[in-house]
Amino acid sequence: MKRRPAAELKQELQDAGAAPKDAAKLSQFASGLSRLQAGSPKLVGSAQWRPRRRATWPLVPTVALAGVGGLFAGLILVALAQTSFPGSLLYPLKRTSEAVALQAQPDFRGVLMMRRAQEVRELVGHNGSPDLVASTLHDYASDAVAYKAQTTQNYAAFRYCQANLQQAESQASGQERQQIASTLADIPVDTN
Amino acid sequence: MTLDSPEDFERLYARYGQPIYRFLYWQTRDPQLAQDLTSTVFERSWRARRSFGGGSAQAWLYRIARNALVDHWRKKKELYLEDMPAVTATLEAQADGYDFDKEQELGEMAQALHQLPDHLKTVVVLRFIEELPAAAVADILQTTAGNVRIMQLRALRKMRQWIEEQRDQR
Repeated sequence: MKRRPAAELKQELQDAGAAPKDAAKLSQFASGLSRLQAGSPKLVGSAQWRPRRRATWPLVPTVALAGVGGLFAGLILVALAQTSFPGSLLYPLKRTSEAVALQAQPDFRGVLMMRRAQEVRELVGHNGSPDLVASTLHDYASDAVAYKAQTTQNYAAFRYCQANLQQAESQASGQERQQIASTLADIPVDTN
Repeated sequence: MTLDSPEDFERLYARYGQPIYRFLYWQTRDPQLAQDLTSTVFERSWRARRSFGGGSAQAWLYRIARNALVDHWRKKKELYLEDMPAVTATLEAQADGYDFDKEQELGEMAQALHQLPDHLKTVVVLRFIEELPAAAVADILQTTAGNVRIMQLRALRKMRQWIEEQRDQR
């Protein structure tokens, strides 16, 4: 910053309407003002300011933590759902997780078949709704037929299902009993 | 001049930090407040860097400084017209040998400056303390250089008149 000559300032002041004598006095007065610059306090830490970037990095662990937390909560729910029963709140989650597992491992069909047979027995034993018994029995039949097409070697699995359904049949009555008997007859345990 | 990276802003601060601080100090007469406002100015400029459309970074910064001052005054609604210990202390510390007349004269000027309305005070600080050309001040104030010259004439007259009145009363 250059210090402007008093003559230059005097001319500026005259251009703005000051009389020459007034302009001379004012320019002399103004020249003293520049000493206030040296009289100003100094900025402390003038070399230390750094722009603060918007803190994007803390978002990464936050999102990761939320993701891990969500995943953890999801896994807990899925684990809890595995013990759920037809008609319960978590049962659809159980069926969804089963469908995913089946896609990954086709042999999982045998486990599904056994689970449905067990659910039929428990539903009947706990006086579950006839609609739930019928739909679970239907799901069992679908799984059993599909699994039978995959393998006839797993005698133990079929035998387990047969035992569960026979127990359910002995506890059931009326149309429900007929449905179970019919399913047992349609899908006999293959001993070959 | 590009203002995209933190390094650009560090250079900007190294160049204009002290002048902006002085400008804010002479407007507020409070060293600590001026320091805080200086930080505010550079933080705001950093956040608003995408709005810098080239041209004079100096004028852009001073405009942000003026806005920061206006915001501050709106909040506080107070002027700093009382004593001036900070100026006196600084002058004492920096003077080559204690010069009572010099200190008194500078003290009078500083006080006269603070009797001015804000817009004239801004012109005096930028023109005669920061020694910016009229065109640069016009750019900062978004007015014409001719208007700046008229304002500086009014300001100098008011200041001199105020000092003479003070001397007459003594």
